[in-house]
Amino acid sequence: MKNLELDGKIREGIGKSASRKLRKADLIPAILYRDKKNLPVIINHKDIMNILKHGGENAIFQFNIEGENGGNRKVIIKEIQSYPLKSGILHVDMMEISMDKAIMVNVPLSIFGKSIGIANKGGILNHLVREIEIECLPGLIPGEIKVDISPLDIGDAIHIRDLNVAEGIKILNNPDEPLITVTVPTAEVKEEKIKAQEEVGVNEKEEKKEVKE
Amino acid sequence: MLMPKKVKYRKRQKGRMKGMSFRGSVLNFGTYGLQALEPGWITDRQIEAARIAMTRFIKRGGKIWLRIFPDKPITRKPAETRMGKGKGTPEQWVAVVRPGRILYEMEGVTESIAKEAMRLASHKLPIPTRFLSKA
Repeated sequence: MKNLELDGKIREGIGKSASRKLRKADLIPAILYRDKKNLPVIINHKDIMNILKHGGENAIFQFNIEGENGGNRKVIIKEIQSYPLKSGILHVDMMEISMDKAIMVNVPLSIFGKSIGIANKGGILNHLVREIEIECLPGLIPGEIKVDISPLDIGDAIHIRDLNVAEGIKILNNPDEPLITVTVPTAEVKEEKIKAQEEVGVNEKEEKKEVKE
Repeated sequence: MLMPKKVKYRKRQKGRMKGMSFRGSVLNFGTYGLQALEPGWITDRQIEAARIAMTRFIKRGGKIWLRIFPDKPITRKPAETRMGKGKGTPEQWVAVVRPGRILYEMEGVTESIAKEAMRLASHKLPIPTRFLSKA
């Protein structure tokens, strides 16, 4: 991964009105969490989008604050708030990290392969967990955790304990938690049941009619 | 039809639907979703009709999640009644939806099937919607 850098400056205006003015000027209000007092900052929309594009949501980058000599300040994105309908960022939470201290991050899960149960038997893939919480040194954070679903048959499941992660990475989720399951199509079973019930209902009505007659 | 089991107050005021839905605006369960683009009240019948339209289309396979619940009672006065004499009786239940709200989520089907199912569902709803995909 290439060295990513983000420039920002200290934000003085705090609150709804000041933040709206910033957003109109294509700037984003953000906050930097650190050991000392948290620091409200302003960052550029284009720059943060560039970091997300090249490094993903768990990108570690150098954050330079205008007028403050922070030295080699490494930062990770903690949370991004975005608009519900249009694309665009509302606010960014960043956290200053130390490269020799373990941190907790969420890493996305990506699946590959074609499951036997889905391809041959028409099963349904249930993707129950999409992100996994891990604890590791910042330098070891993987971009994603890959899972091969090709051996999965109907009724099979992949659990957290089945995941293979590199040395130095600790998974914090419950080991017995299922990640991916392949199940029998439920809609078909329900429809069959409904049809069977309807048939029973019709027969009962016919019987009643006959009795009345 | 969908309705709460128990409510603290039988009748509620009309209210206003300002702003956007910041909560419930991200796909959390399935790969595909239907997102509201305008504010509106979605009745229990409309929610159910849209759900049935989707389930019938996907036939076998797939899983559907409902992300809204009709928890607001709507009252109505009987026909040909003079004004006054108090608020009418609760007639139906609605979900208050603001733009951005995910209404349904779906998983376990191909994108084309999900898109068509959501299109059929959107015709049962009183507000414009759009299809979302995580894939």
